Amino acid sequence: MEEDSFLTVRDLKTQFFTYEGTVQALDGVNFQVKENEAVGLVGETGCGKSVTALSILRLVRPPGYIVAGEILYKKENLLSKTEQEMRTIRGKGISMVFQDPTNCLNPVMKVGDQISELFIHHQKSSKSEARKETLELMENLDLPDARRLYGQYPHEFSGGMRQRIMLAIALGLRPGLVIFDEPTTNLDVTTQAEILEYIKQLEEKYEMASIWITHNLGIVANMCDRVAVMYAGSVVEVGGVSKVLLNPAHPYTQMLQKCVPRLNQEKKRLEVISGTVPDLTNPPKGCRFHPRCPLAMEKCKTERPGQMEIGREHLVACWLHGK
Amino acid sequence: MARRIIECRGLKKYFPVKGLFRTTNWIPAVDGVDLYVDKGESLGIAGESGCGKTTLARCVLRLVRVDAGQIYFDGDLIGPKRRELKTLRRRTAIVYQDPMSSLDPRMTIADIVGEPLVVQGLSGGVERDEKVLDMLVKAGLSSDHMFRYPHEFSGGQKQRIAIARALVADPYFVVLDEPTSALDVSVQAQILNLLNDLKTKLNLSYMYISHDLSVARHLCDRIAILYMGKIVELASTKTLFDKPLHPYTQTLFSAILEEDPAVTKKRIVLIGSPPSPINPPPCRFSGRCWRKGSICKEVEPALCEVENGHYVACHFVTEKAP
Amino acid sequence: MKPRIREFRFSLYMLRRNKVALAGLAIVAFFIFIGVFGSYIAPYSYRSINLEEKFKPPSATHLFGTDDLGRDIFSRVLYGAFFSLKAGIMALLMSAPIGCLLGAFAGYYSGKIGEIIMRIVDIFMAFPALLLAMAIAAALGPSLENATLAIGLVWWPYYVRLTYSQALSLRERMYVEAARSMGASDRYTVFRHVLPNSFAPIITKVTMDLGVVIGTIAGLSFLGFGAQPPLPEWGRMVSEGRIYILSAWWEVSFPGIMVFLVVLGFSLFGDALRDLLDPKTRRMMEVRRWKKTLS
Repeated sequence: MEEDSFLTVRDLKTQFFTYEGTVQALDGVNFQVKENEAVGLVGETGCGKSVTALSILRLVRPPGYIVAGEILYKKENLLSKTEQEMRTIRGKGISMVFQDPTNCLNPVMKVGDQISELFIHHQKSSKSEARKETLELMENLDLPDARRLYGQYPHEFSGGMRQRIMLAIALGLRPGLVIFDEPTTNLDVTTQAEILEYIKQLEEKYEMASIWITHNLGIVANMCDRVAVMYAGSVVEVGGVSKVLLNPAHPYTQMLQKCVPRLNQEKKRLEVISGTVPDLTNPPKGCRFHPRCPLAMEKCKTERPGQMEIGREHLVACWLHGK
Repeated sequence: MARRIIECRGLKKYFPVKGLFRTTNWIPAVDGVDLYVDKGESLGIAGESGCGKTTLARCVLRLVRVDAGQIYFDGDLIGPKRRELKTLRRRTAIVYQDPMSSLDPRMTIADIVGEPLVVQGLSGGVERDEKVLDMLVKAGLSSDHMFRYPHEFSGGQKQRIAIARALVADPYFVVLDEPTSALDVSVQAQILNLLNDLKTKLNLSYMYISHDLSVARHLCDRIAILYMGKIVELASTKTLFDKPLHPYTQTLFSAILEEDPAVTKKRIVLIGSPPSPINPPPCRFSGRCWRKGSICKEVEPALCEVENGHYVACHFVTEKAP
Repeated sequence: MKPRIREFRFSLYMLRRNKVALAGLAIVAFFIFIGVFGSYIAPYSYRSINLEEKFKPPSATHLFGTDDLGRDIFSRVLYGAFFSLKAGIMALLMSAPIGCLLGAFAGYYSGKIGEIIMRIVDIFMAFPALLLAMAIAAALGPSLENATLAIGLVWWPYYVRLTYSQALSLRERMYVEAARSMGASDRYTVFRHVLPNSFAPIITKVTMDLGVVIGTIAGLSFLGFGAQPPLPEWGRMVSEGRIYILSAWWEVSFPGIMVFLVVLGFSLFGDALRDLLDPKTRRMMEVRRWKKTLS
């Protein structure tokens, strides 16, 4: 199973050393991404999904440090690479699309120039060569009126258009893996639908694996093949999208499903997960979900469950499914 | 007989487009809105960003200057004068979207929640503390929280504090401006349940602003869909979800992602882009609508009652449905 | 640990680590100490003339030596601290509160009222503060009180500008609108919400200004517009001792060094205070601390 894996994250531990104490943001994260596969990384605020993405790209800054684990990209461990080597990988091998395109685009630089930077940095192209490649890229990506677009500034575009430009930057060098960090959270529902449709077309055109970081199960259902559910710093359930969403095995996943208001649901009382997300400077012993879990047993309070296989490629970290 | 708590007629609010030295144009953020909320009812205002829903909320409470239209609160016409605003301020409240910035970081929770009582001169000292504690408990917090500061709390707890503050002076009518958008899904569920409970317990009327229709469904009795400052459809929640008639409403529904991977939805693709807000065509949606005809570019569609309680503003949906 | 206490302890920790800030704090503390207790510590009165003892260099009986009238310079310097401190505080007490109030309301209302106030401020700031103060002090008649008054009348525009910009940004905060939605009057909102949230930059400015104001008053006194003899104001003492700089250097040097130290001290401490109160720099300090712990 691991042979055809494109990216394997094994036992990743990242911690933040602050005055309040050590925040154990990631406590042994395990999941894989196969080639051309879209994997969703789902969880609420503080579960560690963004930190995972940053760890993969080695963009975690002090007071945060990756303290343990392996990240195997094309069989090589990214954690043992130098910063120089990482810079060649970022943007070319693995790239990232962020949540807020306004903050990621330089407001005083022409949009076309920002895309060209990709080619200048990675391929050492000259300015004119880079410009040519950029225009070609923009046409390939169906960005309308490429020549005119090149000379415009970010503030002249709508949120949806800016995201498309960010996508151009992320996909320009045809990376093998793209990480999407909540790219549509700030967009309207209709714009979101357009962008997701657009990305689907791109995924068919170029072969690439992707990781979708989101808290929206709808995006996962529409865009992903497999999904990993995260809670308080580790993956509690991972498997095919249909299996996990329609037949969730972990109590957290089950409750998450129930408390989301649905379109086709009649108005009634929503189910609720009691309590709040744990403080990661002092996380609960054993299974980190046990204080809020209605099915918690004695064992859950002391021993941390590892990932157990309960179906084909369906893993759960829960004592209800193990010995 | 249901008393109309809030009624608005012909509300308009314009924002100036400044040229170099003077105002060259006006953008109608709210462009002639009629609505009402009955006592004990919850009206939802749904729409996407830029449709004017937040501005509408502020207009209804006269927190910004209204350029045209009348606002009636509990039957009385409320004008911009200070004296007329007194009742409005006394018996209404608002809960904002962002819990971080809606609480003064330098005040204790007790002071924050008790502020309406102090400002209105209703109670002070011990009596104020008692009322504050009572409200905090109703909102799901406890006495330990009274003398702490906002930054010590999570987003969900801050919203509970904001809700307690809104309700402490016994308002009749509360405006909720997307109170759960900034919260996690599990916390959102808690807050929505809380809002529903409090509405029944305290006999409140709500105006609930949201961009998320599924959330609106759980809280609202009637929903109005706003597009570019105008109401394009208004109906009871059940009717709206069963039978959306306006093309824009149908587009919204089709864009919402289904959470069942087995279901593939037919998505409506909008052509064109939104018109310039400065000089829009009579039907604001006509530029992107698939049903448009020549009449849409000349005559503005009025909001008509198509069937009982179901209003639509579209030239092609005027007949009473069978 | 209660977060409020933790924040305070972290502030102390940050202060401890910043050597420069500590130096500033030490100077300021020392200055305030001698300002308050100077008259009790001083071995001699500041005006006791003893012509037989004139021009004596520093010794055991006269730590800083004596001046041209046989007065003990050490005692005079200690008394001088009191006069400087008092003058500085008075000047700021006159200008800061009014300036802050004016600025806060101007920023909150904006529109015509705000514009008018800011234009008046602009006019005032077109003149160099020192020159304006000199003119006022000269017109009123030179004395320490008048110099203090002059500074007080000239210093307020800077506070108006500071609170104006604060009020302008705070006005947009949600909690300000929330207060309005409850029916709060504008006056209440400014006092309860706008001003308290502007405290950080105001306190920093006041601290740094104290040093600058003391230095400016010393400057005015040096030029003759401020303290008159026999008052042991440092600026005055420097001016009186100037002519003897080659023969009796101690008469000029000690008061001069004191002025320099005090202005420096407040400046350093004010800098540190600003870093302390700014949430972004606080976070940077956290990082540095743990980096050291790990390595």
